[in-house]
Amino acid sequence: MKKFFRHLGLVARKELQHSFRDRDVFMYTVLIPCLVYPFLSFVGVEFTLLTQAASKEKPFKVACYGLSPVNLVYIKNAINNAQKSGKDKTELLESNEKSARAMLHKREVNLVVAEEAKNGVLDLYVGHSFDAFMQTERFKEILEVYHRQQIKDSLQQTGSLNAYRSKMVNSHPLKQESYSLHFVMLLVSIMMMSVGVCYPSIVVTTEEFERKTIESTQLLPVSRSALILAKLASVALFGIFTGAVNFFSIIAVFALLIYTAGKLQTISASELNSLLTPVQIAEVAVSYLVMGLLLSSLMMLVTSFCRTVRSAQNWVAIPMLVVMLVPSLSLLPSVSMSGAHAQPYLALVPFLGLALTLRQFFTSAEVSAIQIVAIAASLVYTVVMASLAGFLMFRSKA
Amino acid sequence: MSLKVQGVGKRFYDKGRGEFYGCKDISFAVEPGEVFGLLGPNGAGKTTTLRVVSTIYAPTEGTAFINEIDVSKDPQGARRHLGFLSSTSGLYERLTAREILQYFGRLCDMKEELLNQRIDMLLEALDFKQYADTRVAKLSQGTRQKVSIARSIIHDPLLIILDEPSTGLDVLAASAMHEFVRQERQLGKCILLSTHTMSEAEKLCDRIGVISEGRLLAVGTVEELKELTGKANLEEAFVKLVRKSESLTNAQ
Repeated sequence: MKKFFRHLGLVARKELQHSFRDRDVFMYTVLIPCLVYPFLSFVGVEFTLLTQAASKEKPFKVACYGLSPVNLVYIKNAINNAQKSGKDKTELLESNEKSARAMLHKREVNLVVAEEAKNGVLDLYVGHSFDAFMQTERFKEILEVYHRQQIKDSLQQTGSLNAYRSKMVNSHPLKQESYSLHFVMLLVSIMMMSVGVCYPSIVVTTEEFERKTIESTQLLPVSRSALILAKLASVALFGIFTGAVNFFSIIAVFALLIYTAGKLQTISASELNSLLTPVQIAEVAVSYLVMGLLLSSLMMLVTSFCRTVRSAQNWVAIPMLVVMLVPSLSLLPSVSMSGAHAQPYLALVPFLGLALTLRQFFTSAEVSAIQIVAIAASLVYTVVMASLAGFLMFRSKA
Repeated sequence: MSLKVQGVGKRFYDKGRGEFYGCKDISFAVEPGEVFGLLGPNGAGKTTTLRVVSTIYAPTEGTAFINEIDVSKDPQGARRHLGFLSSTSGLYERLTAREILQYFGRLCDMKEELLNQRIDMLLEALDFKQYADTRVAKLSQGTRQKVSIARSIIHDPLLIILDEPSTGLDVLAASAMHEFVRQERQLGKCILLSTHTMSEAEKLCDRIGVISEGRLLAVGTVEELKELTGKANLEEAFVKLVRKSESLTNAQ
């Protein structure tokens, strides 16, 4: 067994060394992630600024319940103050908890304000939509503008600065796990992982045939399983490395934008702080690793069919498309393995089951049976696809 | 160390041809310090036979023993004792010659100190020390062939299998290859090579097996083959044996 792992390590090391010296591999693993996000972020910022301007034109409906009279008056004044400027079309609807939440669910209102703890702190609830952050920030801005106006008026009227306090606001994290910013960023990095594993898998499989090194590989006094496992490990490492480079590149670009421009109201810097516990981070890391292995085995299976690099480059487009599209379905709130409308069979759908598992780990550290099934199924698919790739590479042929 | 090939056959399937034999009922033995040549026209089954012996293909019938190790039962064990060099085998382009030799040596479980000594010795003996740390992609065809030779014998195997080793080489490189074969024979190695060049077979081989249409037609020294066919030289003897086999096949 010791020898098996020694051989596995030696072959994996060689594959990594050989692959990393390939210009294409270097380009797709390191260069593109470092260049693509600054460009995308530029486009993204422009788009966000446009949508922000457009959303301010729409009426902004706020429902409230359980507010203290002081807070109710404060909010009414703040909204009146905003309407005075003529730009804001905010409406306040007084309601009770049940109907306020129902209205939010039906998207009849954009936001619900409550005062759960009765301590003066406002609780903001937003609906399930991508612009939920924007709604919260818009309401906070109304309160902030009013606060500044109070100070200004006080200075003009009395010449002194009264101790006006800004309202404490408690924005509740979005209940809908699929809109977690971290999850979306991780999902993007998973998609980019497919770009990262594409060329290394061609190097470890197809290139062996094109360069005619397969014969010497077959003649190594090493078991076939060690060889294929080593190849899988090296490709998966590339994938995980690419995914990580992409993930951190996205975070770096976001952070840079937020701290330097300060223009993005949809995402505040605090949203970039991880709210995950160490247990959740470990669970996410394990799922991410399994995703890397699954993806690598699929790419290796596809490329092991090919005998020329050119044909492999054509064929990898299909699994890349699958990996880009299937996990994206986990962004749909209605697609779920647990909860009221659970579809447990989704755990067995390659890539989707694992993406949904990751999504659940972003909201809860608890490991459910369905998540274990999804991870186990992914590992089984990995073994089957890697074995098939090994068979195609090392079988006797005419 | 000896090689015994016993009734080896390899069957393939092809859509156009259906089932067919790449080689059938091949039997011969090679003793230590002997160079055994498989001589045959293109498509005769030489490479298939060598690939079965070197464990690349699993035999459909019969088997071969390398130092009493059955290649069909313990291919991994057999691989430790053999070095295989083919004119078609490639090298990892983005690794240096030294890295390739280290990779293969380590996978053959060589001790690090012994491996480094062996690499230095081969670099000197095959005269490409100055290219040891150059990536293979930048090497000339002749130097690549030297790296391939060094790669196939890095673990000092007792059986060396050479599949048309001089194909594509210029006169100087081919001469160096012949010199290498002679040196290894002197060291008591068992050498099995395939060729379709009469002069190469005559120069290098102690015994020759003439192969055609996947079958071994005759085995013997050059003199024995001439005597068997009643011809004055190896080329004529070879042609007679192959023609006879073809006419028998056609008659069937």
